[in-house]
Amino acid sequence: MFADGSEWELSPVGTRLCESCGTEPATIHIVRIESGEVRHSQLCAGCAEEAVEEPPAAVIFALPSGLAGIVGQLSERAAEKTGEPGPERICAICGTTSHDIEETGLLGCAACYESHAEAVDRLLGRAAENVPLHEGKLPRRSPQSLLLRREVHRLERMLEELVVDERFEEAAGVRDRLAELMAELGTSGQ
Amino acid sequence: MSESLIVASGLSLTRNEALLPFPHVAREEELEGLLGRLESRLTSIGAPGEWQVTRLQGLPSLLRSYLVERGLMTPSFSQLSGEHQAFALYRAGKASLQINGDDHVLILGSRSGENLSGLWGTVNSVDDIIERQMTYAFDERYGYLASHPESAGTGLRAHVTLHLPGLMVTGRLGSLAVQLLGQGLTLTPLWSGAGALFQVSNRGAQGISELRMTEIVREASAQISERERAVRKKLVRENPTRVRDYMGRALGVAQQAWMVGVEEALGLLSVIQSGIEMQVVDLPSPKPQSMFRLMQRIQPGHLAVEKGLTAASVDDARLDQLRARILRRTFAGARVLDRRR
Repeated sequence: MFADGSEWELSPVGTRLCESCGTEPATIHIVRIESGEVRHSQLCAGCAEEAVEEPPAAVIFALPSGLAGIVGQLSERAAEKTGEPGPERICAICGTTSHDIEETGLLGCAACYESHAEAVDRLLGRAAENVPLHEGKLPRRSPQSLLLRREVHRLERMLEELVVDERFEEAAGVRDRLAELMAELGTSGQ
Repeated sequence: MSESLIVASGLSLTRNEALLPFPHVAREEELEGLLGRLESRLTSIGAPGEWQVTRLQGLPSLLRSYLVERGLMTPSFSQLSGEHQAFALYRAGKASLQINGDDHVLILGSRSGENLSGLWGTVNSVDDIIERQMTYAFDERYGYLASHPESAGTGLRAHVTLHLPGLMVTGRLGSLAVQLLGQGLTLTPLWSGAGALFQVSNRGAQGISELRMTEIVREASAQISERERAVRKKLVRENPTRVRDYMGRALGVAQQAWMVGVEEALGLLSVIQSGIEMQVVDLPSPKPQSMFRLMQRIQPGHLAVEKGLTAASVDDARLDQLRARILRRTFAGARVLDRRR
């Protein structure tokens, strides 16, 4: 069975500051169940650590605060820097605006990942350059070039490990295979 | 009732059709189009009866509860009106499919005990079947795309359900939850903490392969289990009489009550199960089904399905009586031991 919230939906809480210190942004949602009563609080990481160390009369658990809230804070900070809110973007395919995404934390369609790329990275709480490449299963209908690039990526990591381990003979073999794949990628127009 | 502290495993896999907006934006006819296509194809492929597809609207609430209790439906999907949603059961519950929930498709699978890698095998093969009916939304950088950016990537969420009464009564779950957040994992109470069951799951699905993700969740669960065992040992060593008193009271209610609500019953089962594992409670043979199965069996949906009850013939008092009868029969003859065997 799956708990409530097992579908990744984290209810947006809006832009909030920590309820305890009032200065840091609230990034952790603490839920406390005490004698059947449920209480919620939005705290910063520091205050959350203290809160969970209180006497053990209650069941306490912690969730990341609403993602939309984090986006709200980030865009507010960006606006503070420039003195005005950022431009409103709109997805040409489904019409979802950056405001919609801030409100709900939801994207409207596959194309939103392109048209709202910055919002996606902010929602995921990381800078664009730190976005990890997709790992794992690929669609069956993936173009050959994608499969080749995946294999190149895998071999590059293997090569690095082999060099670190000073297994140069095997590394040379991997290097040659990499060169072949790169040539293949080049001829397939990538 | 010999059972590890890991009582159940679950996987969910998010997929979307590339050419349609996500469900919360899509027009009614777009949702209907996808639904109709999946309905007709799923019922015509594979062995007869391999897929059972039902419109959510036609599923009575007790049956929805049963499916949620079995881990074949998510609680939020069960609450939808169901006008453009459908639910499909694969091979009588080996896996299931939610159509037009938060995403176009959510594949689900649940098993008792620790079984994430076996479950991934099933869910992965269901994914291959569904992929032949759709064109998945996929991006080379982000992976499989989803309405919630957190589930983009592999789209996989791995859940392990743990029985943690020791960590709960000693107030250690809060710090554990905060610590897990730092590792990209969450700790969520199942059934609002009744029965001391908690789920560990991954928060994001990007940049980590499916198998590695199941390993990370499994490793975290194993570590939490160790902590729980250590806390229980300490509890019974330092407070032997108090622990026996606590267990004995739970047994007394389970053996003598005639009406028991679901939350109370979950609590009793949790206490008695930990008593058995700590060798403080003795249960005469034959041993009943596992504690987790019992916890499922006493839920409203399961009781209604087992007894053939409908919304018209069921009320809370009736369910409370049925539940109490199951507890009395299960724990007749059980007793608290004077000292460890």
